[in-house]
Amino acid sequence: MSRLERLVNLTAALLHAERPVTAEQLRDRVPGYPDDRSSFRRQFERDKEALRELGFPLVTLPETPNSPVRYSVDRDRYYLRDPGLTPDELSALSMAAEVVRFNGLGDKRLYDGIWKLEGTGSRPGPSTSNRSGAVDAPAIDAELPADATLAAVFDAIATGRSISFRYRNEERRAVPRSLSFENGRWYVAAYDLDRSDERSFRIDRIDGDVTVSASAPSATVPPAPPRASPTRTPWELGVGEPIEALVRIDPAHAPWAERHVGSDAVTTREADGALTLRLHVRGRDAFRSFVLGFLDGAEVVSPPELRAEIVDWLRLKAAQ
Amino acid sequence: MKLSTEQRLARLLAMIPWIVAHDGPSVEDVCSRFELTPADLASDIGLLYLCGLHPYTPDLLIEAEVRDARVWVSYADYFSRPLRLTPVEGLGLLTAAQTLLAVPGTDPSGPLARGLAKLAASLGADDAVKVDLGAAPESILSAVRAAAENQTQIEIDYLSFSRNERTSRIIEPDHVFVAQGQWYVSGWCHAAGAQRTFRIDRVADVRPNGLPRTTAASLRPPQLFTEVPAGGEAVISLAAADHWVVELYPILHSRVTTDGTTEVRLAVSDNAWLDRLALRLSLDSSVVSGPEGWTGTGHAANALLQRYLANSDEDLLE
Repeated sequence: MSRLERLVNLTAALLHAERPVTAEQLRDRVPGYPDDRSSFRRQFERDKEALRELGFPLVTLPETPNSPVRYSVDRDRYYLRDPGLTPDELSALSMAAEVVRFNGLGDKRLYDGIWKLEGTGSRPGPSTSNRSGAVDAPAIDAELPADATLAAVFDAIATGRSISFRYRNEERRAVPRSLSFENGRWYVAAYDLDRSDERSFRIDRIDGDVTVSASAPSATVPPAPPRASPTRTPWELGVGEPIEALVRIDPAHAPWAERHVGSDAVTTREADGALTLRLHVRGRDAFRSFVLGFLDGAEVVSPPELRAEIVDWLRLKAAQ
Repeated sequence: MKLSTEQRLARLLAMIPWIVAHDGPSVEDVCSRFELTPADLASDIGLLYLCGLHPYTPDLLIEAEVRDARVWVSYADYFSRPLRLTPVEGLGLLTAAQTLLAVPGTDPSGPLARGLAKLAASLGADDAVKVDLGAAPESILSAVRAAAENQTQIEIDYLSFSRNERTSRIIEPDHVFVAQGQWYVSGWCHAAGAQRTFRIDRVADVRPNGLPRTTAASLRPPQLFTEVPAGGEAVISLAAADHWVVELYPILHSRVTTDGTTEVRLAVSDNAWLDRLALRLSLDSSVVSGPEGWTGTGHAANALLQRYLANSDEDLLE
């Protein structure tokens, strides 16, 4: 009797049982466990762990005066809810799983999800293996970082639970709302339970494991705020009335600069390709950093106040 | 490939619903879909044939067999629906779909977007994942992709940020890819006579020259940050306010000096890059040393100062 056979039978026995069952009952129903009590416990624990790893929702009911520990499977959570995909939708998702890779979670995992979806009876359309088929697939390669921390946070979002983790040397508790990948990094937007406010955390700064709570948070959590508008440029952040600044960008840098700040900011276009940008500045350090990034390819035109700040800064730097 | 027992169990639990749903699929189809050999499949089916429910009388065993080169599984109702997606699988599929949707030119209300919305809803994760791949103008991206696919040459106007100059060059694109949140194109560069990688957001213009490529395309996109030619090194004394430097750039070495400041050593691909960094660091930080030929923070500051002093405020305000 192989271990795989035992695991298949154990899975069948748990899925079939009408009521929670004890370890002893499972031993009677599933062949292949040793007779010796302590080796049985050891192997049974290992099998349970293997099933949990596969996402098997094994529920443990604690010991009572009348009964030892019992086990059952939450069947609603065991079976995949059929999303009702049409063939072209399933093809499009298969294609996405083929061209996007996760760095840090192994290669095959994305495709396991597709197998399961196809097992609901949905069949992919004819274009699954054809990158330029019905879904107009872009010929690209994309690699995104991912790890167990990210997966744990996603699990908490999908199941409405809270998380606790260590972040910049502090213990934090939060209800995660959504994940976003920006500038090559993952962020989680969350409601911070201790600070009673919305916060954003960088996933790669989370120190150690994320613990997902067993149940939904008891504290009152306000509804999620609407998604923030597209990330504003750093010099727009801050308090108070923004100052309007005009910055002249030389032709060599103009295309990049225009894309970076958006065409709405362009006030003048010269024949040689040079641009003048109108920027709304609250954060002066961030603004200076942006302008200096062009070296002598950009110049603050106005107001005199911001222009003078750049000149003063350069004088201090010249003396360094 | 040798699978662990757990991996084989996962494959079986995914394969059974698939076989049931496809109503006697061919051995060939099952093998190609689940990437296993006919011998592996026969061994899985043989094992399944022995499994079932207590007390394992024939009526309680799973019926599994290969007949006429087709695979049949029945009497396994409890296995006939797939197991839910694990968090990794759910997150992975949503992210993959969001990533393709973020590619300029993808139909935002096509099958991919609709499939994504349905999948997210079934996972209880509506709007849970968002992917931003960085700016890349659709016209540039599609022209570069077309050249990679059609194996043709293009001339690009490229702003080299590290050298602070804009150049035109002919390239033969191999791969268009996303790494570290940015779009890149790699390929043979005629000007350099070597493989080069370019950031697409710094490509100002693309002109196909109508010629086929002359070199064989490389098989894989390059690994970034491992192939950057090392120009030299700089040592920087970093104030706390400038710790973003440590997060942004690959640091070769870092130490805390006796007076408590952090000193980092980093690779410098080009002197203009170091000028840019030196001017942006706060006043409490300083570049202790740079690569050979680097003229120093003061020189970089003076060069820019000249421009400001040449144009007085009055000249600028017309």
